[in-house]
Amino acid sequence: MKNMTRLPFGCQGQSRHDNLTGKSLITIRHPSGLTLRVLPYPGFVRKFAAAAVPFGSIHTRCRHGRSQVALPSGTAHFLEHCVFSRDDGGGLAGHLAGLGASANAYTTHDHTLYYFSSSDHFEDAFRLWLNALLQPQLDEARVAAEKPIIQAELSQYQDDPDARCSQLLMEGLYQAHPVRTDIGGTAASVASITAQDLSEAFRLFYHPSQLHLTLAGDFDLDSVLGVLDRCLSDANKPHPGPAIPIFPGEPELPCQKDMQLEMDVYVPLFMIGVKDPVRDGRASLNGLEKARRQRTARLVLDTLLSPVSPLYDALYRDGLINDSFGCHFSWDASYGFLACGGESEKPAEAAKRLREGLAAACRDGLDELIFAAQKRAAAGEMVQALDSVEHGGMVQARASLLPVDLFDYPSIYDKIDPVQALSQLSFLADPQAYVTALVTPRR
Amino acid sequence: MALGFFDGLHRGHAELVRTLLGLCGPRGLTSSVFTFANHPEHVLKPDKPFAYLGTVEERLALLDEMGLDEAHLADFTPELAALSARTFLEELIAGRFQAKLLVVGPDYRFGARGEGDVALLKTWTGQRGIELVVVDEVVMGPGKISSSRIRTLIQEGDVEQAASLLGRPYSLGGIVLSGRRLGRTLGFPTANLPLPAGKVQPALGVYATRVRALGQTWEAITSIGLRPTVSPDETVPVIETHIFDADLHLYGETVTIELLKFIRPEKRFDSLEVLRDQIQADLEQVRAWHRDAEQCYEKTRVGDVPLFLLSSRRFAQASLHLVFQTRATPRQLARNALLAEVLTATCRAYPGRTRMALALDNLYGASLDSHAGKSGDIQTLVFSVDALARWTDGSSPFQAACDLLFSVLLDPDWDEKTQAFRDEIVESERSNLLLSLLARANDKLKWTYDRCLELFCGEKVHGLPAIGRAEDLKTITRDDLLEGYRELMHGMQLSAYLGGPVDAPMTEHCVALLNRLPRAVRPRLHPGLLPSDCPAADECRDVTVKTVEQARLALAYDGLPAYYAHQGGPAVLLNSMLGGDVHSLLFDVIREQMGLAYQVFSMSQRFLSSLFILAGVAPEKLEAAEQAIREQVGKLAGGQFDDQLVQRSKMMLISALKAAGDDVSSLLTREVNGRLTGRLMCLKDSIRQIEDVTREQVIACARQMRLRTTVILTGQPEHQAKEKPIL
Repeated sequence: MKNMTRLPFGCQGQSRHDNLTGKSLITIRHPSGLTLRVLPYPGFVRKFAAAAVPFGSIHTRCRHGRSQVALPSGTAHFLEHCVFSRDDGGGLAGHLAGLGASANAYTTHDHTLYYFSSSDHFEDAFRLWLNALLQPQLDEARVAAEKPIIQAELSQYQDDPDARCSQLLMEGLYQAHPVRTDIGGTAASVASITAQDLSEAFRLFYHPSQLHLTLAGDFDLDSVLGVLDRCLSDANKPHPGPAIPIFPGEPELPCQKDMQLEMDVYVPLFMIGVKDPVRDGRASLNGLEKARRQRTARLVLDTLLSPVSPLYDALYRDGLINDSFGCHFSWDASYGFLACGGESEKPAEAAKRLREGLAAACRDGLDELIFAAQKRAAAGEMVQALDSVEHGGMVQARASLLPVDLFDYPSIYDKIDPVQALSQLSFLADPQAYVTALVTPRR
Repeated sequence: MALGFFDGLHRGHAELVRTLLGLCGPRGLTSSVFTFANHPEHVLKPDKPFAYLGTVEERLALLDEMGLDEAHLADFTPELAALSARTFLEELIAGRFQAKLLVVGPDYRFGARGEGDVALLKTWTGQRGIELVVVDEVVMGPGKISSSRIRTLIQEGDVEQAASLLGRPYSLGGIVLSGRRLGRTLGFPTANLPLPAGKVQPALGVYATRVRALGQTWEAITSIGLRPTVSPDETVPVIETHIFDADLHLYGETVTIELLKFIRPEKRFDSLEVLRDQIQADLEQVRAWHRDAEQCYEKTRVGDVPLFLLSSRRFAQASLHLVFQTRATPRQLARNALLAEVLTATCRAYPGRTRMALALDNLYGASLDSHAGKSGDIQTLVFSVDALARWTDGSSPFQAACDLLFSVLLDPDWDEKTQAFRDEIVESERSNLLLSLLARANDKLKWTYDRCLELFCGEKVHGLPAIGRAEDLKTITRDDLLEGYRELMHGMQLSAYLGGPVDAPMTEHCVALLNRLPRAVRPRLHPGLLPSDCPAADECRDVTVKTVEQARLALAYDGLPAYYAHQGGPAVLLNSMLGGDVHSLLFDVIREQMGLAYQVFSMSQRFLSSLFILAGVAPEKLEAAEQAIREQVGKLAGGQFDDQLVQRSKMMLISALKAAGDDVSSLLTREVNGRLTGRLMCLKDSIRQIEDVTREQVIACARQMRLRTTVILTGQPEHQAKEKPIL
């Protein structure tokens, strides 16, 4: 790491060069507390910016000072919509389009991510985008205008068998934890959201010191810092103090083992979920440790459930899964689960074979050759990701939430061994931890 | 029959020829041109020297490459010059050629003193029952594309702009002569050519060039001039070319030099030392230009297979795409899609899916994929590898992945007993594809779109998924697959695209791999002819009732320009304005202002000359949404939109084009699509084309649109009963 002197606007920075990728990463701390990471891409036309906010769908209750704050389900997602809400100029998206910039955002369980990319007029677009993020309009009129759009979005997901299957799974895995609720909330909870809810959420979770900003592209850094500084000065909000998320007590095991829904589908779907009991004091982990857990889970899943694995091959050969099959491991200080599944003409049998296969893997251990190959693949994929301004920027943006630099990943991978990796996911061996969710054609 | 001189066969000429091909195909007519070997100006103004953009041989070769059936060539003589317009038409066009269809540009003149024009042609063809199509002139930049404009550009040294209008770099060819070896003496050996007689002489000076010689193309630097430093009395320009990083013996060989960029004018230096220093500086500058230009060009041809190279040092990953293209029946679509999956599942070197996957993972996450796509009635099968060019240990994952790709294609995991693909692999891949096909219907918007496409295209293959129909997939036999494999190896058009940080050894390695493919005379697709046109089926409105929370709506409009038409620019902008992104009319009005839909967008179907609008709508708002959506289309046709919409749409399109320049795969895909449509353009020209689209052009394009097919998926039976007038 190299200290960079002479950054304007009171910023402090460090530059880091990575020998594996040949790229550099500059980490800058603004006096407001905002952290900015910059991935330079000399000679590239495209520029990318992302802001990660550690406020997601599960943050419905928190302790703030001596009081407790309760927010309706779907508040994080609603707030994301409000940043883009329409005005006479077409809203943020419309204004950015006038500069040739394309913006989007998503909300997930534990964070919200805003991002945009452009080829020209980046600083103008950056200013517009950042101002919308730091000073969104959250009045009742805006809330009323946004509600039908969000309701329509939720309604659309009701027709989506993938979304319905995932939702079933979460309801089976979790009894009380807010992760069981759809990220967008419910029709009732969305209807109940007020401008005050949104303002409170914004005040508690969107302070600049909580934001992680990532830029990727070919920039005049001083000039971009100038825009950043001006936007932060204009926003100028006092720090609200920490808001500590609170979660209800949650049983270690799933509340319902088998879930099924009939829908108008041509091909059935299946998912299995495995609940992580969260016994390991993960709340106190630092960024590198969190990243290690994340990457470890990814390696284990790829070893057990990607096309390289005998289990995958057997299921594929027997026609129980197809290319739609996927898996992911989601976790946080308060929850964790593995979910995997896809399309299948024999969903119950696919789910059964998958459960049996995972249990057998826990007994037999991970194939070391396959595990080693996954590490090589992961290292290569990181280098490949950095070929793209947007992809590289997005990888760093997500890593910032932990927080780590993406250049930390290769050394993290190096230290993971298959025995230790599997032990981290020892809950896979517990048949009681499993839930099956099926979506089948209407009889 | 197309009529014209076609000097240089620039983009305007190409538009004319493709229009001819597009018309002849469905009518079963023989496509031909009637042209002259020498320009009429040679006879009519003998004292004024006339310089050609291309030789007769070059012109005929380009016409042949475009897919023309016949070319009728005549010498323009004083006797022909004296022929009256009527006699020309009666004796040649009707008498000798018996043309049933004529295609000309708007300025076409014929007969003595140019007395015949398009107006006369219209009258005469009308009387004769001959179809006449007048193709609008093609405008690029400040004016129409014309041979005279291109000649001027070349003479001024603006070879980049000339290339934009021609559709390819201007080139000079000939036989390399033995020279004074002055270049070698200075340390920069050159291949020397005389300036070809009769061709347009470029401005004297130094150019970045490419040289086609000995079956390959090389990056080079060329000086065209009188060599005033070493030959002060020289009066005849000479072409001297130094090829980078290659020591070729070219004396006596025929070479072609493509002029890419003018670097500097010729000048006289005080001494050889100063000249040498300047040459060294020029070499560095041109080398850097080639490195940064990131242009895709045909590096070589292995048998019938062109290898296109796009070299870039900005990326770590390299890509090789083998693009097979063929006109397919519905059953062949399914067969070929299944074949592609079977081939990439396994190979003899790595039998079994897991071993293949392990081999790729060990190559630092290399990927080897097949993808079936469709453009109209042309199916495209792309077999590709993407991998890091180099790893820190000096190995090349990319080179190893390329080896694996060719193992997959040439050494499949064969069942020796049955001499066919292994049944277990075939059945598991069949099951995989079938499930994918059926599962599309799980997505209600995709279901609605597929239904709309099917109805819009009628029975034609244009309306089918790229992987064919389920009923065909289920019945593909072992023998069908073998036949498909033979066709893949011998009977489909094949082009190879290599991109990324590819050095000379890697390129040579790919050439060696291509040489392993069986030699075959492969068919070539010709834009205009194939993909073929698909006129929309009869107008229809289709309502289906299922148990859904949200209604889905699909509207299909025809009337957009043909895929090969240069006027495609306005259609692209129209789509962006209507429903391309968050700035569009549909998003802003239907979703944001009226709250009628969460998801609403449009997508152009270039190869169907059509545009589809898709929406997910609350059932109680369906009628209002359909009405409002049609009104947005009407707004475009009526010019009821502000300039802000035009500007935002242009900005978004241009931004997306620029973004493509930062991604090797996108650039290679542009190349593939450009060749399929015949509208291959560099990014700069594509951007300029968007910038040049006018409001009036968008309105004119919108006015051609007609609603042909409406598909509604609803949960409310009452929607089925209502008839809606077609706007």
